[in-house]
Amino acid sequence: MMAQVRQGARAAAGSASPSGWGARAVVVATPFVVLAAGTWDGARVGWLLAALVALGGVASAVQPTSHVATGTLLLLVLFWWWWVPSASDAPVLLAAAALIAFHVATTLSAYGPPTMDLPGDLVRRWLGRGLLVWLVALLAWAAERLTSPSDVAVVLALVVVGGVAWWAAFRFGPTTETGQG
Amino acid sequence: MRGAPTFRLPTRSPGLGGAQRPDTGPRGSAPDTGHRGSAPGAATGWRATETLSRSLVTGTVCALLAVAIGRPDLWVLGAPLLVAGLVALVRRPPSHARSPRVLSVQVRNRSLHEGQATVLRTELTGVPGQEQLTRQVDPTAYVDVRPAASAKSLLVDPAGDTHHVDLVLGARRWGLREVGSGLVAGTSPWAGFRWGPVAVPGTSLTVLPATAGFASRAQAPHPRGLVGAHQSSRVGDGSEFAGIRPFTVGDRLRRVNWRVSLATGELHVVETRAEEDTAVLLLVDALSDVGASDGVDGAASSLDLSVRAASALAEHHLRTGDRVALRVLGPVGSPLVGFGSGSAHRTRILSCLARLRAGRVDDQDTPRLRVRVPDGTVVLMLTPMLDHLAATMAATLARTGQPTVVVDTLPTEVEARGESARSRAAAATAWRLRMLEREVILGEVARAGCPVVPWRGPGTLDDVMRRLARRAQLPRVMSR
Repeated sequence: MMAQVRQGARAAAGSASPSGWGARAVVVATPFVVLAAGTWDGARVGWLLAALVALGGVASAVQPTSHVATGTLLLLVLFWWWWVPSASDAPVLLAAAALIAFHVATTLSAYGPPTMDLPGDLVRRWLGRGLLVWLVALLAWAAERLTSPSDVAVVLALVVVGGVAWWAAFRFGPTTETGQG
Repeated sequence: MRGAPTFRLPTRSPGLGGAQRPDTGPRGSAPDTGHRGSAPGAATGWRATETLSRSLVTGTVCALLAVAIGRPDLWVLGAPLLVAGLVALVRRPPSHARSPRVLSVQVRNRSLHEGQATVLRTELTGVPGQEQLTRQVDPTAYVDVRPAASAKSLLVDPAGDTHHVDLVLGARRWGLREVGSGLVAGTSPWAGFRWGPVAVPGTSLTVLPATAGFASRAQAPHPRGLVGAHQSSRVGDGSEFAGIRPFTVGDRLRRVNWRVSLATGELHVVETRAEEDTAVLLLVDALSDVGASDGVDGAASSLDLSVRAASALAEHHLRTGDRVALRVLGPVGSPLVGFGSGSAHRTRILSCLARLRAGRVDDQDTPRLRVRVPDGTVVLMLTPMLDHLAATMAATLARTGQPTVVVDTLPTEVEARGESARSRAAAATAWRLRMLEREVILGEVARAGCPVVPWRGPGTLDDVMRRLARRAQLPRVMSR
């Protein structure tokens, strides 16, 4: 695993394209945005946790096709659950945006080798998708705010989000050809 | 596809984003094609991506935690990822699209000149439900790929069944190149599923040497043919004045010189020299290749200079209607082209030059190098003259009375290479000794009656060919 990470790091440092660098920079940076959002809400971030998050971010950037990114996301969720006892509005929306950005950037990085330029239409499509799923977070937050904070609210939010998911799946179903050849 | 070896699926999904390479077959065995990986037509199925698992796992964990411990904010964090995963599941490829295949890998022009570019097209079929396509090309010596990253990603229509991706290849040096091998992969909408990366075999590309502009106004010493541009020693139809003689039966009236006829009171006609074609033998020395080769726009090695000079000379002589042949002084299997003329013959010569490889000749192969050429053939030997064999051949040809010219193709600057300063100094000393030895060889060749001229492009042969033509008019004694 470490050998693969080292090999990937050499490749990334050697000849990554500007867009490839950009996507990988977002992968490295966004976990710290989640930590910052937690800190904003009063959580204390230890050095060990910060180091683990940094390691996960870098490893995810170097090996976007591995499951390291999943581990990093779960670590961030664990942090939020354990160290952020009662999240307020703005930080949770910021953290959700950061998690989505991490997911989107990792996905874009996994499309090709680090040297490959990411086509603009592909990046724009994923930015739109990121925005769309962040609206889902906004909906879930709104559902949680409109009802009393109980299990019922969560279930209600689940139903709302499920409906949005199905709508999005069919709304964005057929894609158009944009760059053949 | 016909008879294609099946590409074994990788045990895990490496994707194209990391530094991993796909499996190319059972451990330790390669497919019969000789290429890394599968041949066109090899198939691989769709697999769930780490993107899908990441979004579903994280979203589900958030949902479970949110319900279990009553933390709606965790659901706010996880819901977008779960939605992304669900959408990717919904947009999974159709069930009948389980065997994406590489239909073909081809270049638009199978043969091109140095400095020219062509398009490498990879065609895929059986890939409905695909949103994005990535093609990566392995680096090939002296072939530039655009985009410079040698990889291209593009969005495609998921409803389409056949897609293609084009990359531009630029050839920087003559030769036979294997281009286009690499990887191809595709992903479904929302990156939920991926097929590949599949190893794609390459295709061959013939890069012909550049025909550097060459022109010469010099006449061949012994033109012996039918119709051409060289002045023959015999009288016949032509434009070069040879003399005036009394009219005989059969002379054309337009040849009558009225001024002389009136002065002498007898009809006189103008005589001209016949214009004939000549035979040219290009003898390329491929015994060694000295100097760095950086392609058509960079430094040129001795073999680069020889090949490009041979190409230019062939182009020039064929354009003027001469018969040209090619012979290579090199290892077994070196190309050989007989005398001929016309554009098809030009293509034949350039193709043979493109196949040329530098290499030594075994002692037992030396008899194979005896060159028999028709009388009057102009022998143009392109050589860096670093080998006694080349010198012997040039001297032998000159002594048989053939007009032979040695065109020196040694680069002006040859860098001494070595890992340390000491080894570089030793290499430089050895090279100076070699140059002294070469001076001796060149002197011997010149004394054998074989002029040596450095290759300078246009005009290289003018002076020496004029001198050879003058010498051809003198009486001579030759050994056969």
